[in-house]
Amino acid sequence: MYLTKWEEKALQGEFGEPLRMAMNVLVKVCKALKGEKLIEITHAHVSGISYFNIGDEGLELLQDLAKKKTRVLVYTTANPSSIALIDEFASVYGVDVVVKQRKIVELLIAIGIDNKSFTCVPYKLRVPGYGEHLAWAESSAVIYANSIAGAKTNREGGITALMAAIAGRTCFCGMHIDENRCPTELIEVSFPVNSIALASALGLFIGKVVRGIPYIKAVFRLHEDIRDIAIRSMLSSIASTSSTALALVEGITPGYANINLKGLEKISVDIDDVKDFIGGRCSDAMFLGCPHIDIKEAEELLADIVGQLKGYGIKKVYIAIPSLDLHKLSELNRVIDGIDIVYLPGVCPVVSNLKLAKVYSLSTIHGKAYHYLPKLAGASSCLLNIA
Amino acid sequence: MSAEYCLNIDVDIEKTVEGNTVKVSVLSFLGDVNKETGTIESNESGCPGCSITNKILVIERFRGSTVGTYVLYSLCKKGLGPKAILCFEPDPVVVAGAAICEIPMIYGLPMDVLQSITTGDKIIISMKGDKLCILIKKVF
Repeated sequence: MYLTKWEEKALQGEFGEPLRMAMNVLVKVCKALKGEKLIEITHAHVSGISYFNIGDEGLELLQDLAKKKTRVLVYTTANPSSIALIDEFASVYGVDVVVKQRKIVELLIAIGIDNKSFTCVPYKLRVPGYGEHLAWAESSAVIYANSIAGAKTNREGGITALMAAIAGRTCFCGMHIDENRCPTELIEVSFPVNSIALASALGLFIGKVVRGIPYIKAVFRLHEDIRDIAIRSMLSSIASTSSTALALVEGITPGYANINLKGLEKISVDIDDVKDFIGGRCSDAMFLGCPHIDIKEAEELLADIVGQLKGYGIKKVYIAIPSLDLHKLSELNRVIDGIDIVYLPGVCPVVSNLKLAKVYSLSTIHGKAYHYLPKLAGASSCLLNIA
Repeated sequence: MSAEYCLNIDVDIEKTVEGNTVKVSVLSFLGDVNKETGTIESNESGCPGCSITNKILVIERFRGSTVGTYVLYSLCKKGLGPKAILCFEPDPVVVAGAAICEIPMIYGLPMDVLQSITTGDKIIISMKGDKLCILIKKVF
């Protein structure tokens, strides 16, 4: 494997122990992935922030890194933490969990992670440029960066993204190489995608059938306010039911017009293929913001769907938002037409133990939440076609 | 009875590693290994109750979560980690964990070599020139 002089020196410890450790991990992982070299990155995004996911072992590693005075070398953001940091849930989880969750966030900030991040939409803080190399570890953000921004990132593991942040580079393999970014299947959608829930259902289906990189031909008939949320929901749903890091979307992906579609296997999708994902109400609590939506999007979305929410008997809406919006929270309505609105800044219910919080079920419009709530949070879920 | 295999594998070890093996068919560090004792708990591993501590851990197949990296790191910090890991296909989650632990992880071993190893064998791993050599001594 080729290393630059700087990388060789870093690997030999000339620039200190944290860089040596990060380079050691990156080089070994890169060799295992058959990468020929490392590539410099502009932005790392780390996952594994929830105490419920990484536990005492993850906390221990972060403490050791902080003790060694580790600092990230490039701009770095982090995924949301668990809802233990939200007042409404803190007492449920107890002091031990809250203190440890807070410590994880503090340690990450101490090593240089943007304190306004803690979101699964890092592209809202810093939009990656076309062709930029990144090391991102959140599957929904990875597929957005590759498919919408035209940036290049693999689905990194939490640790390797952290090591990439410390070393400022990652393995040059997979999505970083242009030849690996060509479509393998042509997905032709026969119905107009006219809601976020339908975009989610379509994404869940595509993820189940695709074996490589899909090229998606679909008509998105959506109000401008919710179009981007719907696209994000579709992409994150694909990334939930597959290991796909890139989906080429006609009319949206940069350079889509120059993509060669000749010889691709065609997969037609009609409404019957996706309607099974959408069901009846399973909870009077609704979860919005998977991936996170910002406050402007949340307000627009709520204004659009409040009538439908009432029609379904929804009494409470949890909305996960980036923590960069924290300062605007006090200005927001907490009750709209009798429905309680609970904003969850910088956190994510999906990576939290919801059973302990006595939340046994959540309705949603997002495919990723629908897919992962039962697996990760211990709560059942349903996809309502209301937006 | 013993057998030595010398292979062209792109893995370097700094010094000779010697130890007894624990052989498993499938393993995730999250869920299959007790974090407090270093003991394998999964029946599917083929070696439930075996301690991985200071052993050469031979794994046919990995499974499981990316949190496995943290668990392996924690085991090593408590002095409960394995001496080395031998496997067929590398799992980046475990490669990262082994690198942070500073323990050798050797992958790309032919499956027939892996399958010839059983729990309790004595193994010596060393570099002979550019080749990585594995001496397997059967203990009866």
